[in-house]
Amino acid sequence: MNYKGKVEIDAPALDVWVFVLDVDKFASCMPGVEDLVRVDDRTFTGKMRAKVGPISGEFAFQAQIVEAEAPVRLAAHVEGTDTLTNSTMTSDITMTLAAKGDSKTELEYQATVNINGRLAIIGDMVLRATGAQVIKEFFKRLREQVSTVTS
Amino acid sequence: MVEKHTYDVIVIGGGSAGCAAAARLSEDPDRQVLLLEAGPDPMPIPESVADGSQATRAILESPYIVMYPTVRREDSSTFYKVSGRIMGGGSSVNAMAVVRPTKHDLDSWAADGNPGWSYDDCLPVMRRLESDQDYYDDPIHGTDGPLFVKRPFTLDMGGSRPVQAFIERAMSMGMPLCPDLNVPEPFGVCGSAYNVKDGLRQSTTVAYLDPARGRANLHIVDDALVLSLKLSGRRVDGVVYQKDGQTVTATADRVVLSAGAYHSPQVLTLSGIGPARELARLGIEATHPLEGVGENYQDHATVQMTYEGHDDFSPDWVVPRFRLMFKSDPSLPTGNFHLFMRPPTEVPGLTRMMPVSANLLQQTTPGRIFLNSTDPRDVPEIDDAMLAHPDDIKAMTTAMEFLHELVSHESMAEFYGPLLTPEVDEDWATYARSSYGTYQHGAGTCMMGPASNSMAVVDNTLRVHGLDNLFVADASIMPRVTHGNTNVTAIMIGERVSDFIKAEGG
Repeated sequence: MNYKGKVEIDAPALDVWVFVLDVDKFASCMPGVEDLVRVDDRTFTGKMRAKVGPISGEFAFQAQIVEAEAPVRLAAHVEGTDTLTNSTMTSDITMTLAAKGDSKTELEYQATVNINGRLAIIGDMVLRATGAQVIKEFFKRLREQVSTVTS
Repeated sequence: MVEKHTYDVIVIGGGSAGCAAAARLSEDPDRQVLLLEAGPDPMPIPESVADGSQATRAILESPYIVMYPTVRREDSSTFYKVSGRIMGGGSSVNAMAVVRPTKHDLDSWAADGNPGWSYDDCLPVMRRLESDQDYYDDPIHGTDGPLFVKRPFTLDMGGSRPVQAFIERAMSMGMPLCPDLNVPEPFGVCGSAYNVKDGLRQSTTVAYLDPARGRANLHIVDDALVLSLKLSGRRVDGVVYQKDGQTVTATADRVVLSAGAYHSPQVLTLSGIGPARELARLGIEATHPLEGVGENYQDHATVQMTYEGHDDFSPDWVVPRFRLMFKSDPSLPTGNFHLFMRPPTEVPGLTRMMPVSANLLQQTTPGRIFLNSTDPRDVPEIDDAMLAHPDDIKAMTTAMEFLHELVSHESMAEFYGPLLTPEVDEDWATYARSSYGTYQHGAGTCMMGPASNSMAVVDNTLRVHGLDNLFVADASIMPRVTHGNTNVTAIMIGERVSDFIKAEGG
């Protein structure tokens, strides 16, 4: 599954950069994350829960910032396993920042998500919608929090 | 080490068709029948398979699944087709729906040069295979067959509020009530039958094989992977399989290949029976060139649309077992979509998601199955070509528009909010081609047809063209995929091959 899009944030590019590079703040933008543990200044782990009809599952993951080219490009890698089927998911996310004047930033993102295992059989269409909502909520929170920090 | 055994009939594949065929053929104690299944034959049946209450358990939790990575042509993204590798095959891992082919399906097969396969010809077989709990003394239903059939939800039961609202909204859009999806031409809001008895899955293992296990003339070998068929002139004179690390050759007067739409063409190809160009590419000696092997692949594409849900009703409701049989064009001779409510997806921190799905029941441009390996353990490759034809994508977007009109109505606002995926203003055709999944009804890869059709693999008695004693009997023989779930049709095909063999005294 591939996702891409652009969001505009009411904050200077450097402020956005500092925010997303902070693991705690980055994680705070992810919806539904529980048991968040900061491993180091580039890595955190956590869990997400999901219920599809009568089926409940928990997804344990590790997210790591793997590339940081200040203040324009950041790449992160996420991988995890679901508790129900032991399926694995990996995701590579890149974010590119472009200043739009002194007080606005255009953030362009691209994410690929790959699922290996049973979950992929029935999960593709469900997870496609879920992934889109996670991304939408992530950037909604990011916009709100960065704007709050800088206002 | 090589062992040799001789039988009257060897059935390769203990799936929906194979179990039915083996059970019927072994009714005559004088006929020695060998049933080979590549998967295990666990006894008792593990709970993840036996449990009929949750259709997805066998898929998600059991080890008896083969997954076939399939690449969408639109964007090279991958999804998975599956089959069951356990006694019972697909009937042991499917969603247990009992859906007959439509009258149009079977009459089309007959019209394509397959006499004896019209609806009227097949109805006696469809009746004898079932024991319908809801329709007695009914001219189209049977009451004393091996397969237990019951509708757990009937349209007069009344469902939860969102279900009732969905049904009433569909009716207001011109969909009539159709209590039985298994009438010759179902259309409208249909109640679906399932093969679940007392909460337990009634696979062909349970329905057909278990009552036959005590027969001295029925020999069942599980975990037996067939490597190839040995041909001598116009006859198969050996089935070579592996069991417990040993290679065994079994011989029989007749061989029935029932390995399913993915593996029947694989076994044929590995035996040199297939398209000459493919055999040359793989370095396999062409023992019996047949251009249609692996071609004509068809499946049912499914596309999901997800709406924002609301939290003001119980999150525990489960969609009862009904569906809409829809026509994307009113002039069509048969319904070409199953439309479904889907259960909600809930993730903490996100709005509830309420999906619906459109399942296209036809495929105009067929795909193909092919091998990239001569190792029988490797799964075949699939170029599924789903939604490739303009008519199919037009039908799909029409069905999506119908669903959107249905759930976006004010009468549904309590349950369905704004559309999340796809977005209202995006290109729904592109969305469909890049996100479609499968209803898991692969078929057609050893199609039945007259000898005059160069793509036909078997004739109307399911005998392989040009060979005297090899039959194919499973979903692969369907000239066109049925407008419905395929399991019962596969069982019927298994029943019919037993009739054909019995009729010629085999």
